[in-house]
Amino acid sequence: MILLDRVTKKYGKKGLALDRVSLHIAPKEFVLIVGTSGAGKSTLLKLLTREEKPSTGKIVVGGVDYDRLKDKEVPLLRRKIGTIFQDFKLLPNRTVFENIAFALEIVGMTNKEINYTVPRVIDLVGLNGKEKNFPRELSGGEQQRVAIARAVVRQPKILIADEPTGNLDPKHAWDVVSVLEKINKHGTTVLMTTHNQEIVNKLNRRVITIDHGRVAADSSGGAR
Amino acid sequence: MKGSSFKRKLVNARRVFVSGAHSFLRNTWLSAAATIVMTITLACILVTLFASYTLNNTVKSFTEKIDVSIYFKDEATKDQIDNVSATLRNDSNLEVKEITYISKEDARESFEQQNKDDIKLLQAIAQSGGDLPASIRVKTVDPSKLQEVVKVTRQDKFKEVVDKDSYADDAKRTAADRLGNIAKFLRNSGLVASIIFGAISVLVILNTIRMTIFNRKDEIEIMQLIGASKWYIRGPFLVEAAVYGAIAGILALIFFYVLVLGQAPKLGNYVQEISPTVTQFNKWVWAAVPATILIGMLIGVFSSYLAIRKHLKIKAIK
Repeated sequence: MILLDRVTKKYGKKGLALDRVSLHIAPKEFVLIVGTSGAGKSTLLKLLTREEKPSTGKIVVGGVDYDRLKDKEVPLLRRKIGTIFQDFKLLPNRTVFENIAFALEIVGMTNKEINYTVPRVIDLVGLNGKEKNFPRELSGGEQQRVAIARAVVRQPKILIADEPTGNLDPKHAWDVVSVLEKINKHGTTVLMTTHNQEIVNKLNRRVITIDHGRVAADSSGGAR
Repeated sequence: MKGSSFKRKLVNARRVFVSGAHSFLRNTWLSAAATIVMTITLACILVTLFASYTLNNTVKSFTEKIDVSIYFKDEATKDQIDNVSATLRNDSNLEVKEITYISKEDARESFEQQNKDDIKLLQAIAQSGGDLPASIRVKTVDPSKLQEVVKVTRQDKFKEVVDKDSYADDAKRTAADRLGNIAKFLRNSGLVASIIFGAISVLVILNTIRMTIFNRKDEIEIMQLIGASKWYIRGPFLVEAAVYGAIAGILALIFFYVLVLGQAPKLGNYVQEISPTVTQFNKWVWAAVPATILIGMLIGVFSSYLAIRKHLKIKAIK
């Protein structure tokens, strides 16, 4: 599903963010990427969503070879990958419902289809009753759940979550992780970066440790 | 499958239009600023066009009146005179438009008609028994060619027939030449003014939309990250600018047709050709209205396209 072959990312002459990283992630896996700040976790995810291009190396996601990807095809790629951002990246002038619906609007879904799909996803992330609220009226945990709902509403095969629990207290953090687990159970490959050791221990999934831009450890957790 | 993809495109197009119209209404001040500048630009173009047409018509009607009269000697026969006329007519270089023959009798009659109140003068002429000379009045397509005409009639071979011509004392011609030059200058400066205003308009709208985009750059980034296509993001901005353009076009047309054309006939005493030009513009209103609105929309869309281009580059840097 996701393949990285000796991927290096340099910023300028000295800033080596990733150093010959090779990874293979199978479909339906739930993978945690851990490491200290600046280790290269976020860079890795940005390469997968094509926010950045690798300096060298090969990336293939869901059969798409990024070397052959044209700029105009990037939006199509991003529609296939659900992305959750640490800072939520919600549209401030849109309600919860509209934020989630936006992901469907851009692919040309009709209002009828949207009105059918969005409430189900709102239910999945447990935000019933908050449909008409604006992001500023929600807690951090709720905002993150809106972001998750938006990421999964198109039922992507791959979900990429960059520190989705980074801004949350332990209770909310755990709520978010539970939602991600639920989505993974439905067959979505989940790739999540985190700092939270407790989550890593409790989840008991494959953990890839990045240190100084390299894969320092890749340990499968419990049975999967 | 194709049908469904077409349907999705239609749904998207509708969303883009609605979103563009909404943001026009939301950004009241920015919209107003852009619309005003564009209105001024379009009004300037219309007024320049009108002024240039009026001047052109004035020059045209003035030059149409310019002619040269060739006076013939008393003994010149009608055949000889016809021969001179034919020579002029057959010279393709002169581009003769019209030759009117005025016989001695015609000249006398016309003179008497013109001076019918001046009985003393008429009596004096009658007593002297002097005839007025026969003449031809020559008009050319290009009045500057009249000089060539008299060159021909002043040739030695016509010495026996031609007495004199009116070329030397023609003040009308000099005035027309001068007017022609003024018209040309005004037309060119009007064109330059229109271009300058057009450029200013593009710049102001460019910056207005840049401000809107700057206010919403996070939103644009989010849209891109979620997978919105460039056209989906760009579309509403283009629609918004097209709305500025269309409204500005309508305002400029109202200003032009109501205030300028409405008041212009009052200047008819000073510039006679204003009324025909007003009629001309009124006749072409069916073309002027859509053309002005379209130009406004194009200026808006072009500026907006330039403004947003930078923000829509896929950020991936190698």
